[in-house]
Amino acid sequence: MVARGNYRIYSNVIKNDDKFYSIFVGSAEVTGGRVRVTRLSGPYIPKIGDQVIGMITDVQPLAATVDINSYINGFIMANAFYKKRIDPSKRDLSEKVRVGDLLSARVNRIERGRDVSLSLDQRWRVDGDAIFYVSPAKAAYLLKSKSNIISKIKAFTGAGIVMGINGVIVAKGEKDSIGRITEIVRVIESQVELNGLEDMLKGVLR
Amino acid sequence: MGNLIIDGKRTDGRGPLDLRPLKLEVGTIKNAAGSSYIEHGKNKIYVAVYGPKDSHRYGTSMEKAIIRCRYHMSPFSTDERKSPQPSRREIEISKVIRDALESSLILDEFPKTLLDIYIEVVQSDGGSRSASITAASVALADAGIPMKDLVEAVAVGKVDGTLVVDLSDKEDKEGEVDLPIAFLLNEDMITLLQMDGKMTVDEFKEAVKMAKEAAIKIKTKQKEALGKKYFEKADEK
Repeated sequence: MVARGNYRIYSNVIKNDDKFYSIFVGSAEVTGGRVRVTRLSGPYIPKIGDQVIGMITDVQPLAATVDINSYINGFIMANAFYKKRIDPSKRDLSEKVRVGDLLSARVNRIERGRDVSLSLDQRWRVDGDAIFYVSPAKAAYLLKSKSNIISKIKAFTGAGIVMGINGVIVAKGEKDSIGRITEIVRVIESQVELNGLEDMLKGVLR
Repeated sequence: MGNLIIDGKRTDGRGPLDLRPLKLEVGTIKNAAGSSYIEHGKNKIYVAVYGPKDSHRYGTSMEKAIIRCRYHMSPFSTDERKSPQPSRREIEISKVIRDALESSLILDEFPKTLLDIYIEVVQSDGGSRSASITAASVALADAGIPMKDLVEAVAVGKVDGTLVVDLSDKEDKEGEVDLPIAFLLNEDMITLLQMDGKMTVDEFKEAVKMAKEAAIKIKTKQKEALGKKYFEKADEK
């Protein structure tokens, strides 16, 4: 049970009479008459506007399927790559992208029972030497952190990092910097509690 | 018959309301999305949850995720070797466990997906189905599946004319009644109720009450186990 009384539900909470229960394992917060729970486990659940990193798993003439590290796939229509309508008899999407390419995109539309529609970012192509997965709850926490932890990691390791809210981290750099990033990802995964994560990372980055 | 309760004590020295020692661990299987391990009496059970995963299989629903549940006893889990082939009993228990867990989960966020629950009994004792439900519910919480409440199950029985909680293998086989019950305590709901044997209405009401008290104890253990993995200090959640 998270709270009891007259509150408005913010997220991840269900109400039963006047009691509020969390539906996930997570840390609860009651602020300003609202109850919310921050999830600590589970798959990435897409939300409109999320910036994600995906890997192309299939290329069709008119659309590409993207693995977004979730229980559901994402897809991108071919015209997004050309920024105009295209004629499938003349052009083929495989000239733009191949299976295994990484890209940065935003969640555009979600329909029940169908793949998630994505729209490409301005500079959508993501290059990298290594790809890491962390839990989506931690990725969301790090991306929202106020102390700009991602740029600190970049400065410390000397590698280029792109991180999606779906928990995918793509790193580009020398062998040493990749090694350092591997170490940091291990630290992120070993820390269970979100609140201590930032301090712990600061300790490592020093 | 007649020697299962002597001087108010059961064969293993417990009183009628005592549970067997219960140990729960979360996150024992790294490959799975969520997992748990339970030791309840002599029961030793591993549970692994995989998914939700994208599925185009016939039978998937546009409304919600489909659950597949497999309860399996290892050949070495019993005194005599058990054939690894799924028996009638195992198929029934798989179905019953699936139903008991399904009503606790909020699955409409995952249409056209599959959720696999694998339950492997490594060492068996009485009440393995209730221990499996208790452990599977924790594994599902570990996998991040939204749920109304954790499910906790316990068996109540009648042995030598006395109502007792949490039957051991011997009491299960030689006792008069076996009554496994699973609870959703927050919702005040029962998600599993099976009965083997005969009891009066008054006895039945008393048995449900006893099971509920035991379920509250089990729920504390479940929360502790989850807290141990996700929070350094297990606090009230």
